[in-house]
Amino acid sequence: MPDLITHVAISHLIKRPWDRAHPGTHANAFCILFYFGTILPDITSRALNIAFPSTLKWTLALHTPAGTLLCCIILTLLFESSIRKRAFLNLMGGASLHYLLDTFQYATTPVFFWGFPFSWADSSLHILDAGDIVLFSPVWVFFVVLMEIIFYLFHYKQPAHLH
Amino acid sequence: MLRWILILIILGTLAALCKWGASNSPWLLLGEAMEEPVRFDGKTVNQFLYPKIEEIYRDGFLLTERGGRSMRVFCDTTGLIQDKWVGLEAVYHKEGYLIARHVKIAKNRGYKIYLSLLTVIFIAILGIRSFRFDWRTGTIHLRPNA
Repeated sequence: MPDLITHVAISHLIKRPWDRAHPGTHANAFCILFYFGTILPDITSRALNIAFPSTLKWTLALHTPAGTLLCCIILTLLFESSIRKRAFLNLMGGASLHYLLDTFQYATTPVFFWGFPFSWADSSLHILDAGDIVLFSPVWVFFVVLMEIIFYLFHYKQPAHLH
Repeated sequence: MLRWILILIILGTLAALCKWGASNSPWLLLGEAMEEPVRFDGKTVNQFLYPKIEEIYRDGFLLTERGGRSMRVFCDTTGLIQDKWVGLEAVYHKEGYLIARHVKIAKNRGYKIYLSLLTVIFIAILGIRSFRFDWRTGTIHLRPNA
């Protein structure tokens, strides 16, 4: 996995412009669910593995699209019925972005089984090393701050009736 | 009530999926190979529990896993660094050693874990500020000011 700052920063760089183009009520709250979706596959699997290494094989299913889909459905059912659809779409949108980014990651052995439980084919393209990507985390944070400044200035310069 | 039945059914499915994944995965752990040395002699061990390079020798290194398990690995030692986490795929031999097929230092892994932990805490704080859990109904609601 790339580190979670990289996952969340990239999801912010995609989701914020989308939310500005498609404004809706409580956009910020649902944005947080999108971020939560981007970290969900790692906190259900990698976090458990770090705390309890012997869970490695048991959590394999939780870092696959099928496992994450089930986790997202369970989480969605906990939300009040009026916001379930938006909650599910944001959680799954974030999780899909997580898997898209992981696909580019290099791994010494096969760890990305996107076809699970139907296939054990390794889905990684083995292009980027997570250890190298983590060094770029200040760059992602810089772009996030820069984007927020641009949005703020753009909002500030608009006529008051458009705010 | 129907909601809780659905949650239980999906949790059951998820548990079954985890069990199936654990039983049928193509991964062979070092611990599994060491428990049945004859069965796994010559097989490729492709998952280790946070393996570290304990000591480097001329023809390889001593690998230790979280939990204290250790084993001698034979490989080209170019670029290896003591006390670093390592990504590894190696052939197991029942005599008690491994011959590495791929070895790669896992760069900045500690840094990555701490940064990720900070991110989880940050998202959790944002989540608690935007949503609240109603313990009476077992439902997550948007906060009015979210």
